Amino acid sequence: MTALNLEKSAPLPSDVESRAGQTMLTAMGICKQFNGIAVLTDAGLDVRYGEVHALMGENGAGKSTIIKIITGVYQKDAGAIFIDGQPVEINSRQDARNCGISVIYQELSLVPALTVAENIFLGQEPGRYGVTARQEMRARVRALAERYGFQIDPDAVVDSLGMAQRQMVEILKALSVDARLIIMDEPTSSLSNAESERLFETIDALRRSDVAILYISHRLEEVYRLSDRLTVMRGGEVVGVLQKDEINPKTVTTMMIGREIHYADARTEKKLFEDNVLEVSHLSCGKLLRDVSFKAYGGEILGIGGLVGSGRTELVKCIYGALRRSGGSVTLGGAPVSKSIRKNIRAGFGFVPEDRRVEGFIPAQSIGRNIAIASHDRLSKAGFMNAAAENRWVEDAIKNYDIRPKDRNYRVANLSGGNQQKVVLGRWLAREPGVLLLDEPTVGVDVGVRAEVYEYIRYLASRGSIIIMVSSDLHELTRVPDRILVMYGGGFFHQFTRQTATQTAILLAASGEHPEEGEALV
Amino acid sequence: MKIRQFIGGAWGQRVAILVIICAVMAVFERQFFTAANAASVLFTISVYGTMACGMLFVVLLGGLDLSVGSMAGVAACIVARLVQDSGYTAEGVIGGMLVAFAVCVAVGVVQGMCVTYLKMPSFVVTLSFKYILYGAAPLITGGSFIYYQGNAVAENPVQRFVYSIGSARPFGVPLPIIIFVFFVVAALVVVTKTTYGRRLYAIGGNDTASALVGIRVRRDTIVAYIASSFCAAVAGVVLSSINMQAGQTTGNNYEGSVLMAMIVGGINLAGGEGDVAGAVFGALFVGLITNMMTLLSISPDFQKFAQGAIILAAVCINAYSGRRAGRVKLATAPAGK
Repeated sequence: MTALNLEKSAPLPSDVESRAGQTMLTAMGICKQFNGIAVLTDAGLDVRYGEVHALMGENGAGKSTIIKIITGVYQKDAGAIFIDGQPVEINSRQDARNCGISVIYQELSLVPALTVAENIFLGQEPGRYGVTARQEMRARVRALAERYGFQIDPDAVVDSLGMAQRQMVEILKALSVDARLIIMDEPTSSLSNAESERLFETIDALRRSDVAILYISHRLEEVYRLSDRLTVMRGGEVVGVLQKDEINPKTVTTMMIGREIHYADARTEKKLFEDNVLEVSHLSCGKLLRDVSFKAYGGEILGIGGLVGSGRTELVKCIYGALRRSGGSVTLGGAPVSKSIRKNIRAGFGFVPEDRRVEGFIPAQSIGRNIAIASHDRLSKAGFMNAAAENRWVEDAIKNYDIRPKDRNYRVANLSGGNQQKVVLGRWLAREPGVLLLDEPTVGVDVGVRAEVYEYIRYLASRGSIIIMVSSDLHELTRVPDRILVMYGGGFFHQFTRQTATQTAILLAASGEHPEEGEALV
Repeated sequence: MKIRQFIGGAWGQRVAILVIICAVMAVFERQFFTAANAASVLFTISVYGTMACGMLFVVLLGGLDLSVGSMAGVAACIVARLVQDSGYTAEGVIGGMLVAFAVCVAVGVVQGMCVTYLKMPSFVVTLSFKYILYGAAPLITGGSFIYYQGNAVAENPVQRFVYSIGSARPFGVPLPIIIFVFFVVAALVVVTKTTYGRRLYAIGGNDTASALVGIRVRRDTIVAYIASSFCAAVAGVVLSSINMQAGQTTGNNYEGSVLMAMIVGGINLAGGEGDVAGAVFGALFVGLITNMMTLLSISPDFQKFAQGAIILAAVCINAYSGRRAGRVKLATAPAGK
């Protein structure tokens, strides 16, 4: 099945009556439940030919679920989908492709060792008896690229291309099977600014060719730059559809967050432990982190906000020693912080990574081993483990942090997400670290455990530790930290205190717009 | 009884399997319980077992050491050459062993560095060294086999010594078995009692997470390759003393049997799971099965067939029971117990 046939060359978009403005896809009344929990309630979407339609919403708003229903990954519980005005049932990815819907995923699905042309025709190479007609393949790719105004060499090996060009190849691949709606999910998250600009040009070219584009992004500036219309989702519902001239930062963020609940958490002024001070000056880490400086004192919970890719994970990893610093210095209580994780742990550091399955726990090992692993220095003598001390240490942690089941020999792989996180957190809390670095400490953790995590963090801070907490959860950022630094493009962008922080303002700052609240840092 | 526990499970089942093999042999082949055969089985097991104790370290890390057979051969050749050249003096024996162990440890360091710093797959590095060392052996011996001169009543104490490594029986127990037991105890202590043992399991289970809790993954990995190489060197010296000869084919392809012992012993080749008891059981199992087939006059060619089938069956049982338990990895004995 090859859609692009040179013999009967498909008419160029300009030759036929333009279909721009006609509705390509309509989804209405879409409902979806998982295990009895409603994820989508009466959600809808319509996308027209020749428009870039943006879809925005916070994490958990239902964006990915509705995309997965449109593309046949999930089946809807109720609702209807129309393509070109005709009702359709999309029950598989193949159905979606047949309807002309293609998704460009964040993780690209290209084979790096093959050429552009080979990738585009992967699995459906033209030719006979297993012999690929290379000339024909190249010619078709050239024709396709020309038709949409793309600059690409069909013989280039994908491995040698930049990310923006690889996305272009993905898009061509979609177009080669006659995609009329292209869905892009956070396409710029792995692109540099210059590359993003190239992608936007590609998108503009697609729009001129009357392709419908559904564009999902967290970055407001991109959305203003590109989109013709914008659908905002919140809590599984569509809050509204904005026309181009209605799109502005304040409106969008307010719609995304809804009624703001302000926590006038009137806790008394905290006691700072001035002698426990972490000082970061002009810290850099390649292109990911640029010239970052701040001070944090014992007793303080410092929140770090920002989008994925803003440098927040790199910041904590650089301080901890997990990433090599390319410039700047870090001191704790006046003493320089080492580049060795091992030395830093002994100096009182602890680090809870973002992806606990990959970087946090050892799945095949027991709860006990997973907790003790960070404290061998305290539980051994001359290289031999002190079994009694180890068991006491582990039993205390299991009891103090309420890890269930209360069985130190239980495999961590079989625990719930919340308990796994308590194991990773408990491993450090047991040491009472002077500096605890947390990267997304409550991702995939249920509400109950979340409250416990906050409680442990606050307790540790009250005993004089410095807590630095990276989070995407706006609710968490406005409630837990005493001070919030929002990062954008590898540096600090905006600062809030607990009093000035609102979810809308943090979201605005993370998207690269200075809000009225708080204090601009650049 | 769960299939998972049948092989590589608790001691009860392991012992049962060994008893069954012995019982079958007792019924079908009288020779099995003769003193000569018992000695032969024990010698084989002690050589495989000593190698397995070292290779266990590398396998727990998620690696493989395919060079142990050739490593044993090179160690045996170095000792034999220096002993012979010195004219059976004490300096020759001591110097020979020091040189042999030093060379093997150095090769272990190089292998470990290839795996850690150059990020080469363990399989590729150790396979290369299997051939490099095999090819190097004739350079040491001068191309032919070196035959030891010596027996239990020789005048020269060094000649008595080289003979006794393989054949002495203090308290009625063959010395190779005592050496094997020594390494089993040493491995057991390291794996279960030391922080290094804990780190081995941690790195094998998740090396990224291990690095983030301050484990020096590279250093610990290199140490494991050293341990494996050292045990292989000791096994090689014992083997050459049992046979009173050393040459290119000494220890050749032993890694296959050691690997089979690992798999039958329920040690997860993906790393992080397994124990010394499993390695010991595996060595006993492999030694007995090999002996059984030899006594039953099964040709060496067909023995290979049977060995392959046993490995396949063991992996299959592990994988099947692992899936039933809802796990992804090939796994048997739960770690941490």
